[in-house]
Amino acid sequence: MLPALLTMVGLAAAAGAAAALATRRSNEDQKRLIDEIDALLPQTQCGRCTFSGCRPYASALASGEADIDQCPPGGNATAAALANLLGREPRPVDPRFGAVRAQPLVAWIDESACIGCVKCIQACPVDAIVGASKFMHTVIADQCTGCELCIPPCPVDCIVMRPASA
Amino acid sequence: MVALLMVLLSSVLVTTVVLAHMPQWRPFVTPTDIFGGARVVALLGLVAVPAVALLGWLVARLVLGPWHLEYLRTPMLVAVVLIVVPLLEVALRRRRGILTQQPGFALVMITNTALLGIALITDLRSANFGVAVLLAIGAAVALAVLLLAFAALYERLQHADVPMIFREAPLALITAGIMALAFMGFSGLIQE
Amino acid sequence: MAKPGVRGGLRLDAHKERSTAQALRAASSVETLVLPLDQHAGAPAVPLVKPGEQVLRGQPIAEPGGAISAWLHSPASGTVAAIEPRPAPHRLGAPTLSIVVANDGRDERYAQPAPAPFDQLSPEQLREIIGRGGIVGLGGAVFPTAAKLSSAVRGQELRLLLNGAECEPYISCDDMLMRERARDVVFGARVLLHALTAQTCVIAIEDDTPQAAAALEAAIAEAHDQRIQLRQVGSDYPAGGERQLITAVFDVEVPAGGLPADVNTVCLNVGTAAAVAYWIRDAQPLTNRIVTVTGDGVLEQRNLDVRLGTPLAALIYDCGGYTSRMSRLIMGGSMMGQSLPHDGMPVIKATNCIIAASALDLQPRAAEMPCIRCGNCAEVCPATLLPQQLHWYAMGRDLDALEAYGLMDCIECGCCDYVCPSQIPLAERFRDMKPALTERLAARGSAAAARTRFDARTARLEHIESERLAALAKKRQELAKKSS
Repeated sequence: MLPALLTMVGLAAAAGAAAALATRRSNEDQKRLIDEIDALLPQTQCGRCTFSGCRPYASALASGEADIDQCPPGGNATAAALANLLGREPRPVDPRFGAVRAQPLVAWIDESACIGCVKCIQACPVDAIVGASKFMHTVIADQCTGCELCIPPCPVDCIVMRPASA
Repeated sequence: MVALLMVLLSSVLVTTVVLAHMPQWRPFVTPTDIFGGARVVALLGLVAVPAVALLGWLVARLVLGPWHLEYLRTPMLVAVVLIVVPLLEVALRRRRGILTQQPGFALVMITNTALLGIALITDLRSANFGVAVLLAIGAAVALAVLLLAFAALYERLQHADVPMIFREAPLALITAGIMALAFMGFSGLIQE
Repeated sequence: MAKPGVRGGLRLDAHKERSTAQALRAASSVETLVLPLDQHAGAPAVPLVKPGEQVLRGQPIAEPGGAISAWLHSPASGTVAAIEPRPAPHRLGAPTLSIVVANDGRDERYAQPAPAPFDQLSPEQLREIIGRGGIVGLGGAVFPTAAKLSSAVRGQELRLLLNGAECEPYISCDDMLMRERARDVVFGARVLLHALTAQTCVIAIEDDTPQAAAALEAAIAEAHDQRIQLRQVGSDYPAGGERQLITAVFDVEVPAGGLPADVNTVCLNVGTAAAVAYWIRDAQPLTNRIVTVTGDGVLEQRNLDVRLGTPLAALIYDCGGYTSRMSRLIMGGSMMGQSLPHDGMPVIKATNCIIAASALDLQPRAAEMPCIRCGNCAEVCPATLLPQQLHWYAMGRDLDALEAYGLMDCIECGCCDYVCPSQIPLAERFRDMKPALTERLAARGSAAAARTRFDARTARLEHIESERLAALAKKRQELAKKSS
């Protein structure tokens, strides 16, 4: 009786220790995971996912705080790729986070209305607007990611979104 | 021989189904394709299956035998599997390139190694250590080959023009059946 | 490491005997010349003239429209009749903005400043002057030559490869150029060597063109230039593909996704070298090119020296007109050429050959059948790709797999198409899938750029913030010191 008990307890203890060792995830692993997720995101830095940029969203996805259907600029293709990567159920983008656009849009400043207040320049997360105080502002279309963060701050409402020319 | 083939095929089917259809149980963060995932599982199996089988054989001979505890063989094997697989995962983490994902990794490896370990250990009661080593490695190689072949077939069939009725599960079963027929050709090579 | 060799390829009938039997002749003059503004790779040129303006032969009429673009010169003297969309051959008949010049027949030349001897110019100056001649790659890619030269110069030792290996059946314009104007090719080689500060030039030709070989050897000997050598390569198609030729001549492989400049080589067509010679030595910008007119559907087959903008119908007329067997008009060779809907379109810088094809020249294609996995396509692919797999993934529209199997490395030579027993139009399929893949790679590139800019901005803001806090802390300390 005693040898059997000892054997089983010993084996169970060993198994428990091994399992405990294995489930600790290192920091490096986490960082690699975040890098892999970030590589799939469109880098629009728009904040529609409720995080302050693409990397914070990737971080939240890695730790399980966010779900894969929160990125409208990435569209359903990105949601599917994220589901594939993280082993979750594939889902279309949740419309509560924003509408998925059929084609990419870029911002365009109506130069006849611009007053040179630099508020849009400060808002742009990728520095795609050139200009200075009391000078004309303009959007570099090649560098605009279509995040639309420049539209709310403009006091004269002179920025519109236009389809990106091919 | 036939029994081992059946065990291997069922193991292969489970692994492929998990890789392809149950994303929440997929064992790895990368690679994301079925063949890549199967390749990693096959390589890990080559390490884990002989380890489990041999460790189990040794414990059976050296611990259970002398104390007449043969009836603990199956729980002992389960415990050995639960020790070897997490340690393998820890060792894997040291290596770059593969991130494991819970609970998928544990599930797949435990399934494979447990199935094969049980099959092997019942056979190895009376064999010596050398034969045990050969049988274990042989079984692991067979699992690897079958897994890779099945995964490659499955991936190739992804883009095939398959009638609606046969998509996914029926095609997988037909493929497994044809593979089993092919391997049946090997039975009779070794007269037991 | 295994020695790279030229793999794959096909041995094809050349069909060049008739078109090379007679000497080069100038095409007859026409009344109207149509010059599309986008007939080179890169941004379309921007007109410098307006309708109604008088122009002279060789006068610049359009300037480059972007970083990668080219000058355009008037091939004749006369008046600008219009600047409007006209059907263009490189758009397969679709209209594109073109300058239409009414030829007054007087051929008055534009006064170009006398060219300085090229070896007294610096390489940068020489490259800039080459650009002003409107010189683009005349092998078919029409990439602006000055841009190609400048992007290749990165401070390392370069070597020049002049591509005279005209491998595609039916095309013989480079062969005729080398036979009759070998001196111009060699002069162009010397100019380009100076422009690249290179010490080696290899002129590569196929081994089935003895007259061209003899002419070039004589011209090289006459020039007394040790740096230039002639090299003969096998005449399998596509021996004249840029990457295949570099492998055959220099025994190195251009990396996938890379350029010849990555292996210190610049590869230009012999026609481009001759055009450089005419511009640098004779102050004559790119206004003419040699065009092969061939095929069973035209009475005489020959090579003509044609002004750009001449309608293709005029070339057919110069060759005696169509025969009764004429079926299709093709611009290019028999492997990579494109069918044209009519012959009212102009000769452009890319027009190397037109085939008036009859049923003898082109077998009709049978209906497409499923792939039988014979593997013929993989055996002949000169880019060592797997067309069978690419076809499979193209059918399934799997862009990831297409990228992994190297679709972007396909040179669209048509070898796989030619040997497929199931008559699958492979080269067409791959050409159709490339835009989707290009778009995806471009999106990935711009996302990476956006990430870099965002990180830089975040760092900049953090830096400004920390400086501000440090300044406030310092001020706090000073005030504390004062009051104590």
